[in-house]
Amino acid sequence: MLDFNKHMYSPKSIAPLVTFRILFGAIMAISIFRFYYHGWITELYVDPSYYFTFYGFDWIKPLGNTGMHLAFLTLFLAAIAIAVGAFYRFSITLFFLVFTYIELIDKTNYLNHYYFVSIVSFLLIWLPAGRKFSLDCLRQPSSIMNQVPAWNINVLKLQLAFVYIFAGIAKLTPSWIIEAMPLKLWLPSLSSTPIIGGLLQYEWMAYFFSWSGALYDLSIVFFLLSSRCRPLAYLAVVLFHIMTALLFQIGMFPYIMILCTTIFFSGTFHEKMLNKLGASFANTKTESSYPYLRDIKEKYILTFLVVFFCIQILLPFRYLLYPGDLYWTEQGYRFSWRVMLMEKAGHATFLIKDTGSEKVDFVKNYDYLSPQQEKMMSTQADMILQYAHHLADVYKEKGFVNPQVNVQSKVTLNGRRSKTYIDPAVDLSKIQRGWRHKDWILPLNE
Amino acid sequence: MRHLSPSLFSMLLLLLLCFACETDDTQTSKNDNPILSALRLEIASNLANNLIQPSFQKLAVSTEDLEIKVAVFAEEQSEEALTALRASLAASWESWQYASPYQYGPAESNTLRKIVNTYPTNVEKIEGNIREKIYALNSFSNFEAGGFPAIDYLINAENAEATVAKFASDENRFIYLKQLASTIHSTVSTVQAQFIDGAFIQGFISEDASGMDVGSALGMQVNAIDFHFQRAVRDGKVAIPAGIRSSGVTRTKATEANYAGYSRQLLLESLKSYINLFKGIGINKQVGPSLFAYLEEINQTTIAEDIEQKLNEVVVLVQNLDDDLSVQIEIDNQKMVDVFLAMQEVVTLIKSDMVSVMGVTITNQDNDGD
Repeated sequence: MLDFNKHMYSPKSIAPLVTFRILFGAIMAISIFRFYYHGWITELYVDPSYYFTFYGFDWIKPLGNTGMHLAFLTLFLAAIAIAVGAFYRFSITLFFLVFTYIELIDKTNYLNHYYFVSIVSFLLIWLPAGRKFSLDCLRQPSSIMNQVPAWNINVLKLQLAFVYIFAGIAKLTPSWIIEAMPLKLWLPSLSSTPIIGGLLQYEWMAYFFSWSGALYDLSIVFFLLSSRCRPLAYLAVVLFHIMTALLFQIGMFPYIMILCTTIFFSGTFHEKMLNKLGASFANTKTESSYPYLRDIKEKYILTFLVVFFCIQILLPFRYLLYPGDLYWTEQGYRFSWRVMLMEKAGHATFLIKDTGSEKVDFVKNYDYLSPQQEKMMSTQADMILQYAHHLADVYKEKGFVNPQVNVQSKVTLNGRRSKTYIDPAVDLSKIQRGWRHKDWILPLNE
Repeated sequence: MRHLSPSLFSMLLLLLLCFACETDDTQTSKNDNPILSALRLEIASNLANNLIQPSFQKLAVSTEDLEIKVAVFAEEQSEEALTALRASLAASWESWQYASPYQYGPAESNTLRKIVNTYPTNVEKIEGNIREKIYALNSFSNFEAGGFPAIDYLINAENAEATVAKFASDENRFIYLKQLASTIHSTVSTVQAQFIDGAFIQGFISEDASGMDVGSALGMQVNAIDFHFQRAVRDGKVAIPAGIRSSGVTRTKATEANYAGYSRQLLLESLKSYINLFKGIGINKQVGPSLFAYLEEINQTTIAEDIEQKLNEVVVLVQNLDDDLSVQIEIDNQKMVDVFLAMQEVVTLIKSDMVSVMGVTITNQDNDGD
């Protein structure tokens, strides 16, 4: 119990938290600008005529061209405000809300690292990361805090541990370990990569990357926690993520992780770094004062965080509640830190019939979906169902009385040949959305 | 966590390397060609040198001839000149089918497809343009009143005698026809020149473009096949006229070359152009490195063979259709539907199986696995 109390309540330098705030704000500002720069605001949130909302969040709608650009501008300004510590609690709350709103618009764009950003910005709302070396402190010197209870730092370490360890557990599958899939498919296509490119087409490289990736994810947190291993472990973090950044189209994720894992370094280390930037950390070790008030609010926050992390433990295992192959059905796939685990592609053709009529219409998906939306929809059953419902609505407007929607779909998973994905006889317009098992997905192995 | 030492960490790393070496010895050496990206580079230059450039060159020669035949027809106003013009249009239209799979880079930036082959053509708009002397045919609003389909309407809608008479009575009709031909030829020439020399083609055959991402040569080509085979071939030539996209309500006026009546031939040429592209066969029949060879190289020969076989099956089905697909639709539309269904299987093979094993991406957006 003493040990537990130490990790929770012993006074720790606030410096790691301050660094984390600055780096997180800065990398977010860069990410948001990059998103704008590539024209993705328009491409992803303005151009499409239909959006795949998350179940239960169908009320989330995009805001149109001006509105979406304003939303991203808000995010950008909030991210900068977080970095410099201006109106910190307001800025981080605003950032969390707007970012999460945007991520909820269309599940086509779901990425685990966006989920990570949502979670981290949510955690940061409850942490006093703006109480040192910030504009807020300049304005109001009385708000300065040099120390915080240990949990304020450890909660972020725990979050990172969740990301890595769950990502590692997710890799412990026969396909990843024994077949080295999907890297066996992906690496040869990357053989134009400078320096290591020539090696990538060899099969042993796929095994090497698969196994070392799994081992890295499972163990890196423990090495980062050990003060003796930390420098070497952090070097491994940097090398690993730079490698993935070179190889894969994963955007900002590697850089976010490289910056976020600095939280594992000691308070003294962070104080030294921040002092170089102009912060004024005295030698807090001799300081005996402990200004942080352990009030009733802290208890509520902690109780809430326990629930929050319990949910995060359960979410990745919810797939066990469903029969069938997880990668094939993707029931319980999202929000589980499953990253780069499979190569999936498909082709879905929707047929619309009106009751009492023999006439069939074959839908042109490109009339309704962007190429990316079509790609994601073709391999994910929940999106196929959503789209089928949308088509039923569209055809009702076209004058169909009772449109029946069937799909002819083929999907390939991890290099297997394409096989029929959804039962073509099922009228999808009559199937309800929800978390129940989708028994209209045909089994992968027969 | 203090008990974890750096030496343990380095031991783990070492262990990993041993695993790696062990698998190196036992690997079932799958890729004999040591450098896949070199093969991709060769495929890109075969595409550029033996497929794209000769196809566009042939198209440019054809459309130049078309422009000449239009001028002769305007000069002579004879049925003989009209016959020659009709033949020239057919030749240009066939040449176009071989340029059609390469609608990226300069072809895309010059909106080539829209300018030369938007159909069904808009007859009212053409007649209106002639009446009001509107000759700016490369604008968005006039795509449907330009290109080969507009010429087809002007010279093939009626018999030779009536056509000559109609032209003779209206000088603006000749001006419009000349404008159509010159817009086609100048756009084709611009695109051809940029495919032969310029930043795009230099990049296309460079090592920088030898990957599989969106900007790479093969990435671009595979995405173009996916895009244009579905829209221009399957839907434009077959599904839309056969009513497959309109609940079975056929649209016989929407066939390609609707007035000339050789839509089947154009469809066959188009299919042949995709087979040639897939197998790396140039216009002069010389064979070079191809997508087929690439699939073989990555041990996906069955996918390659299936795609070729399916395409050939589609060809056989099309050979059994009427010369004029609008006639076929009226006498037995089921045969058109059969062609469509066979084409769907080709699309699945390309979009699903081939794209997946080749590792082609369709956007430059971030992704963390499918």
